[in-house]
Amino acid sequence: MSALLRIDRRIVWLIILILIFYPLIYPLGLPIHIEDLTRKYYQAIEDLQPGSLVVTTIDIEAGLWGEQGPQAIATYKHLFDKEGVKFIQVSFYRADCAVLFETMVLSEVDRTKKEYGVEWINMGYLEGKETAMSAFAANFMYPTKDAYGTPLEQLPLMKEMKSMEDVDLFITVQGSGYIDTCLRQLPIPYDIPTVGATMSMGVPDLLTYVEAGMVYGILGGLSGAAQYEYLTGKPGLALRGLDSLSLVHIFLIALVIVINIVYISTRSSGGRE
Amino acid sequence: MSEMLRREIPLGLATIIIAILLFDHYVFIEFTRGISAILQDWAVVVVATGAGIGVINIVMRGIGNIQKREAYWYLEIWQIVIMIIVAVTGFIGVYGTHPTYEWIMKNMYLPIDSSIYAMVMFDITSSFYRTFRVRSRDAAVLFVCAIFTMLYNAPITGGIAPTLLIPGKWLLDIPITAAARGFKIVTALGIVGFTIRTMLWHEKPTIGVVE
Repeated sequence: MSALLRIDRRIVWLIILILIFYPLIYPLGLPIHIEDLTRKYYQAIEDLQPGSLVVTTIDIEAGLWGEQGPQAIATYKHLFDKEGVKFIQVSFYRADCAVLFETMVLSEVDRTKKEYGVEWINMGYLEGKETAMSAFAANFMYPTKDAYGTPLEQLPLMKEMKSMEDVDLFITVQGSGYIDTCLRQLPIPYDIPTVGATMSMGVPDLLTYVEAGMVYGILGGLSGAAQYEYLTGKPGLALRGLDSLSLVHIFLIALVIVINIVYISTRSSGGRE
Repeated sequence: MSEMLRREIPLGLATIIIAILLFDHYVFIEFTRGISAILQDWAVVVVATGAGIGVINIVMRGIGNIQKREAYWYLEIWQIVIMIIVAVTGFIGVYGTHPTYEWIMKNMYLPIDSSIYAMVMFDITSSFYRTFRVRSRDAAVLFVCAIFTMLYNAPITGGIAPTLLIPGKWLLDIPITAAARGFKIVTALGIVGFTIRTMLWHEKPTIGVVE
């Protein structure tokens, strides 16, 4: 049994790889639980009335795509399904975030459901980080052109949306490192209701804003995305990956408990570690 | 005069700009709002110029390494070639919509960047089961908290045994959120203190003044 304490890490890695790939090929359909904050995220978008104005920041770098890509895709599918809801999308974190939005998120939604320029606009990536956020929040015309080079004054939606004061809901999908910056510059100074999606480890950051009443709903990591897909009735990447996530978690919990039982019994019997 | 150019003028400019932006944040006057908007626009230009300078820096450094035949110098050639290809295809037509550019982002950049993040899995998992051993009382507390947090994060837990979610949820809602809140407050106070020190000329290196 004490050999378990010196288990070759490659065996652990192999088991984890099997537990990841097997459910992707043969889905198990393990049960999931819908959290309150995920339900509130869904409800905030579902309750949008025709004519509502929304700003979204999809700032996902490529490395986080596996965990947050499904969040962005599910959010945008939901927004495109909401008749009469209008939105502006903008990225501030890195240029590749805007490119990923264009190539990976927009390619998954049915763009025919909304007319570009009238019901939605893609501002692309705005350089300048926090300064750009502040400038954009005060005046949506600040970039002068959208992501495709069209002057903003030619787009009818810009007559309705001039600054964050006109916005009814702010949605942000970000890695954890930038979410504070985004929230303090965009929705909070204008008291805009906000929902946010972030990595699992970024949820405590967003929870502080939930406690303060500034953020109403959270999607946390792949699990949150899967719950959201379930609520919207559009299963996707996240629900497919949830079985793998569950199995790996349970395996690691069981492994560390067993190793500690062996460790304690070995130590108490005077054996070597 | 050169001393004033090097020291007083940059520090004075920084003080004036910070004062205008702070005043504009709290008091609404059309005149200062206009100046504040112009200052923020120029700040965006400066930051964007920094990105361009970064590209030039990478190319110059790469060319230097190639000329000197430093270790792995041939990878510098590969880096510069890829950078040029991506930049050119990105600029062709409407930004970021050229098929070659999309192909590179979708089939090269995204998988490679995701793989680098995914490789962390190997380190984390082997560290996890080797680190979480009950060697002491503190380690035991950490172990128990880790188990409950992982149970809370495991999607299946809520589906088969919702009761097991309660300790993990309490950990997340109370001590972890409290720590995160404390961290945010401390960070905010640090930023305020740093700004005041910059305005009072106590933080000179930030402005580029080295004495």
